[in-house]
Amino acid sequence: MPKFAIEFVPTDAYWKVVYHAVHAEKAGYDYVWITDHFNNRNVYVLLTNIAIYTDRVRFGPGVTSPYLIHPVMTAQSMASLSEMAPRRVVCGLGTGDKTTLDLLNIERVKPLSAVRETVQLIRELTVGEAVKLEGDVFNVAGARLNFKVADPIPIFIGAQGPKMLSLAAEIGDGVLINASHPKDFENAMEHIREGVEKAGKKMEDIEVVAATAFSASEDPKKALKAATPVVAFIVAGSPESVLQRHKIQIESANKIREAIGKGNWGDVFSNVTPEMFEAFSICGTPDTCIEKIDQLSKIGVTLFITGSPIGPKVHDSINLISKEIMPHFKKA
Amino acid sequence: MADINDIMKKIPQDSFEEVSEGMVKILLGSKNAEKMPERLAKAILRYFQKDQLTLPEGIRTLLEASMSLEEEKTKDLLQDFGIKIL
Repeated sequence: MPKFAIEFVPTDAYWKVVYHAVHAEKAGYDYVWITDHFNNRNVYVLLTNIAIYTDRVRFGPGVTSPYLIHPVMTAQSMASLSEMAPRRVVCGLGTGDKTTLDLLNIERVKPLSAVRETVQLIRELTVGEAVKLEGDVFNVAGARLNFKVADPIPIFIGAQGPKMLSLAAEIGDGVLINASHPKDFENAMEHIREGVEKAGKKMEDIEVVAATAFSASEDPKKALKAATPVVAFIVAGSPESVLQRHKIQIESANKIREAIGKGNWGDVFSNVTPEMFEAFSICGTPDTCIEKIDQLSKIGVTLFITGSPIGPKVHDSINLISKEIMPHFKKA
Repeated sequence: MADINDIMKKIPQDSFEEVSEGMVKILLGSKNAEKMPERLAKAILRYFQKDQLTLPEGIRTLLEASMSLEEEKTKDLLQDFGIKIL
């Protein structure tokens, strides 16, 4: 049976995000992820509150970038959270959102090394080991936390390209893929299997996670409307290879990019086509969503993140997902 | 602002669940969400965690928050339940 996670972008007042997280726990979600961008509310402030106001759900940053937050600080944060909520904390790790890092003139240098070294640092530090690392990206002369967690903290690694997918499967406890369409997962699974084999693991040892742009509503038009801005930004940020995979005209994507650049939101939204919704979101009535989740599940996805926008109204959509979508998979 | 104690007395117990849900929706959709007083935000989260937002203490907290952030919308909601606030 697939597991369900929900992802919140903390652009709203802290209490609203925490309220939705508590709601998600009560609705039956297994994980809550909070995105980590310097220009939104601080992820660890949110996660601390989620630790306080929830009792069961697992939670973590989704995802933190080692280029922005040094791995020793991430290890410290994760271990502190884990002390508050043992066995409930997970760490989402990725090289980070290029647009955000560009604002800070931070380059993603040697991303594979950065991720490998970060995983090593977090794993060793959180179990109380002293760490000395002369890596390609990080150089730690001797670091140790003055406390440790009882159980290892699972690390989920965000990946898109073949090498990162393979590495994520090799060293991670989960592979987080920002995609919603079966084609993207069929493509990814080959590289995930490579990584699993390289590590001498089994596929059952890792979670394959679909971080989807999700919008559920009884009214399909409202679901599409809510997903439009998210899909537009995904199209604008997608490389040509991904657009071609989904048979999306480069010119159509360029129109959206230009309109975003000019801040012309009417043009941005009017240029989002049905093919784009199909390629980059799980969007529609509960039946439509069930069908798409089912397709991904058959390919090997084990954990579904219902990501932004979740639906026209987050509160109502959490109820809908809980009552109309999750039970379908629990029965199965 | 209307007296919270007076309003509480007018809400029939069999409407607590619907009134609670209505106020939650008003608060979550409020453009004034960032003005939520610290004390009420924490109380709402605590009551929600304990499934007590439909109990009198939870309703009172939601009512105080809802009247503070969205007085007119809260009055409209209550009017739907036959509760008139002057």
